[in-house]
Amino acid sequence: MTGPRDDDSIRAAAYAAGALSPEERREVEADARRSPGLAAELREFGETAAVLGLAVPPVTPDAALRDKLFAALDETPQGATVTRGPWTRRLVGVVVASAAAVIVGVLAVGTLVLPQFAPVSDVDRIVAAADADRATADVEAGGTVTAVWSASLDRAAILVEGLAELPSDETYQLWLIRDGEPLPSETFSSRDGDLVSVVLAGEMEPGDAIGITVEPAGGSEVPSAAPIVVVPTA
Amino acid sequence: MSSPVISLAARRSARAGHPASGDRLEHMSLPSESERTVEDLLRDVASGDRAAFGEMYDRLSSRVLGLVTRLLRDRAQSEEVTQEVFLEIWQGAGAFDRARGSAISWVLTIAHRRAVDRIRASQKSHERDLRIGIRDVEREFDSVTESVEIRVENERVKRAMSRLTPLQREAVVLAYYGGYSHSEMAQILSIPLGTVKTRLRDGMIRLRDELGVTS
Repeated sequence: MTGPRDDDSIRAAAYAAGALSPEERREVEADARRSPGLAAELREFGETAAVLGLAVPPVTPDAALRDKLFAALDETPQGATVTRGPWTRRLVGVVVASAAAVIVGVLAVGTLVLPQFAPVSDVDRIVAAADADRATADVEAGGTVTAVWSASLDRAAILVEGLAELPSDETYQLWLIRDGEPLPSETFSSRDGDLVSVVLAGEMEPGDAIGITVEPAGGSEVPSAAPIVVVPTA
Repeated sequence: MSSPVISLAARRSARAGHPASGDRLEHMSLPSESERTVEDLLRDVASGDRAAFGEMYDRLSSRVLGLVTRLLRDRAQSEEVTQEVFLEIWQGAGAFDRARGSAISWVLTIAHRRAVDRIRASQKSHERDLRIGIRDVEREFDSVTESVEIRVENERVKRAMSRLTPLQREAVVLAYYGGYSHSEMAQILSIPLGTVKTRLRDGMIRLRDELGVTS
């Protein structure tokens, strides 16, 4: 529990009443993951605010809104909204060879701060899994990568912070490295310093490592360069 | 006192075979004939169930639009925001965590947050200056509606609100129904930020206790 209870209730009340800036909101959400006291306050004030919300007279939306909404569902993927890379198996030595050369600092991470309004649902699910495990590695050029995985869900995600922004003709790409084979996965971009979360497509197997390379925009089926980081998950 | 809300909750709970929980919110916006809670619907929505999403929309869209309209006033903008809210629900249903609160509270939080963000992006606080002031507070809950359920809710909130000091009430109303931030309120009311924070906190605590909200 961080901070006195007094401060918790001030922040939780303000959060529920909508009096915080987006940055303050995210801080409260992040802190609540570490503080059961704050989380409990948030829950109670959240339910209180909901009663205020339900006391407002309902307004029935125009019927067209429903149609518009359903039409929009087709372009609204659930969970992670990352561009999906090709998902084919290729045998390539480059990642394996360089994986060994990359110095990987694996650290246990005590707490994990998730971005709240990024598409975190799948990440949340993985983090919340009973057998969730995680490892962090530093990127030499700056930034850290935390891999989170759950063997029971067979899924893995990464959280990246502080990776340099790439020129528009390049993209970061994730690879699941299994038995020395890099399997292409999602591409993603990073704005300077941003916290990015990406759930890897496909099932993860125990012992897979997660690598990141810089690829031409659109992603590649085989890595075109040595990975900037590899995070082992075993 | 026995209100329709409570009896509705009790009926549902009896049917569902578990005792009424302290938190009645999940039952409140339920049509009494329905077996499925908003929590149930959300779980199905998380796995891509469009029918469940449709049912959820039919059940909650007027509550969402009502709240958003209260904050934004502008009908066209409010419908836009309502669409954003439901798309966020569709996308993020998997992130809903019952341990962190009821489904209806989750939905209304998204609606409130999006409406507030829209207000703050589009209007400077001085333009909204006292658009909702203390004089509006009494009128805030006078709206007439045919729905018994909402009238009951309305009365319940009005009663709870009446137990707040006028200054606490003002803070809660400015924040929740006006969309004002801490610092905007401090500016408008010409009082120190710390005072705003404790007033809002004290008001929310009083409300929570009066409404009997437990989690």
